[in-house]
Amino acid sequence: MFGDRTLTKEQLLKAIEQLERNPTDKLGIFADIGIAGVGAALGVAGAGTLATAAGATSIPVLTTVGSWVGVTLVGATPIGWVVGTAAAGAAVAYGVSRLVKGSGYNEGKTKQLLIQLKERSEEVEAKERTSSIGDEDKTQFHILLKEPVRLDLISPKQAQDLITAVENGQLPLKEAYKLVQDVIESAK
Amino acid sequence: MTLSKAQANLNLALWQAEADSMSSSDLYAWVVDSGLPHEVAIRLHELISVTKNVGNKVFAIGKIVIIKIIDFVKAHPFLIIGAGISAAVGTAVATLITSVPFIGQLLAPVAIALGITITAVGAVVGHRLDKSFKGAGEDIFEIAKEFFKLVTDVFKEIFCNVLTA
Repeated sequence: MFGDRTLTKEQLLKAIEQLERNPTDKLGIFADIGIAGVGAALGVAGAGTLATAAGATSIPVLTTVGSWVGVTLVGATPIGWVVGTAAAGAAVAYGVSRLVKGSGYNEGKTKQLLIQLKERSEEVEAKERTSSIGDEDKTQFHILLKEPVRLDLISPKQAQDLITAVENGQLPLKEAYKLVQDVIESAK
Repeated sequence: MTLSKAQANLNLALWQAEADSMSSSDLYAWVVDSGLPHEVAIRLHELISVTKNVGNKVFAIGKIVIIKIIDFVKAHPFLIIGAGISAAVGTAVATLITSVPFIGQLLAPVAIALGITITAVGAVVGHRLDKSFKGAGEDIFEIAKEFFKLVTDVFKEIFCNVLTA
């Protein structure tokens, strides 16, 4: 309200992509784009970095395998890939986000987003029960917002406000996942 | 485009987060320093503690409404220059009152202090507002209506079945 800067879709997507590439630099990235209140729990992003590394490598491996057996990935059912990558555990969110990146909006994409959100939501719920929500969990949520913003399911302003509210602890992570999940479901 | 229930929930949750991040002393300072007549400032400030329950959640609806009114005033500085702070707040209040029934009850004391009369059928007669805007009133209400469209749509979607009295 008092002097917040609203980002364009491109600016926000660029910032999330930067965060995806370098989850440890959340403070710097968010400071650049003017998201307030970040920095309370920085320096715990080791697991996030690990997950990024795992996610970043899992899909290209699958893609390569796909190309060996002559599967055209564009036409392949995304759900199959989600199931296929589910074994990757915590890294699956990152992996799926890479899988959906870059092609047009379709029903399969929405379904994947929902699967991603549901999985993360369950994971977060379990962590909230044991009060072990870490900074990397918040970072994962911010990165997951990329696709809904890209697909215009949520506005850049809403994403920006979500990031701020989650970072400042005004919105529980589980509730944030649920809100985004409901918006995607209602857009189907 | 119709606002979905999920979009309404998301917006309200974000406004609630914004309200949580804003201390009541910040809002009080703005209201007092805004130049509004003392009586109006007191009535507006009284809204800070108004909350509404939806399911098991409590929303600081009064605080959210004040923030939205401040947003409107800040977004339209020409209104203050041309017509004064009371007229700008009056436009916001009149627009909200006519759009959402329960907000009408909430803002009635502020409206009275501003000299806005709410008739039995819900029409708003703002003698002071008319005097302030000198013929441009209709356009300004249109601008305010557009500004508050999302707010009123969200309130209608979420609170229409929750609040009656």
